[in-house]
Amino acid sequence: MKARLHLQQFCDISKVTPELQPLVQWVPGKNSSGHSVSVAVYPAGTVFEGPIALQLCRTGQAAPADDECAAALNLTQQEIDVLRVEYEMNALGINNKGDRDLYRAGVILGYNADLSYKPGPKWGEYQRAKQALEEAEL
Amino acid sequence: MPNKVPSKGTALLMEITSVYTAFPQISSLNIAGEKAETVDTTTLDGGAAKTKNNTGYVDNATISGECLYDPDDTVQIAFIAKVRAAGTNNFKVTYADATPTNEIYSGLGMGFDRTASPGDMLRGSFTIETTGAVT
Repeated sequence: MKARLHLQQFCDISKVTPELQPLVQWVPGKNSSGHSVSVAVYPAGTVFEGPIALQLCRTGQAAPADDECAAALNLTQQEIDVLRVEYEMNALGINNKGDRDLYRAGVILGYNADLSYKPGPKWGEYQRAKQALEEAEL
Repeated sequence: MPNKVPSKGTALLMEITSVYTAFPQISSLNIAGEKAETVDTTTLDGGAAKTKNNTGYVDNATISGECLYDPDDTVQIAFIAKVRAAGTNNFKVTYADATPTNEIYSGLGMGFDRTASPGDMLRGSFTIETTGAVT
């Protein structure tokens, strides 16, 4: 049973087994003392095998990568996509209901450091529609 | 120079089978109680001002927060299973600063309360005691 990660995910190195060891990579990060540290991750696209594959699909972190996993998951592609988008929002800290709708619609990709939105592929279209609505109300 | 870092984007992640998994739909997160322990060292022959010293130990933080509760959510189910098994689990908190700060807590003594009330969504509140050093 196999599943492929949608996004890079943090890895708890204290729980890594010999089978998972080859999948781990390191990226730059910072700890709570402000020191630069190497942070263990599983890169996007990493393929997991075994029961963990099904677990990752159920949380929305991964998609089935073989028929066995897809059969065990027993979800439609649309349901898998909904789980993926939900998980992405949770990982990005998008908890506001209105912002979650904007993310689902492709209007935003998340937040900048100054609290402004990171524009998504539908940002321009949404702004034009918003402006037209404002003008119509005047 | 200090920056104004938004709360938006802060995430709590729970380790499940070595993969840190975002805890869903959190509306507030509180990490409190980390404090260097002190002891009163005032003596009978001392001055008027009482004295204190560090013991060298540090009280651990407790992580708590509120979320929208979804009884079907895989991560919340996994968390509640840990509560009922009185298990331990690692948790990671990531902030929305430029080079995201990562804090890893060893969690235990977990709890999860649910609230259902008219005119509101199902809500949950969680607590996680921590042990050992934050890394």
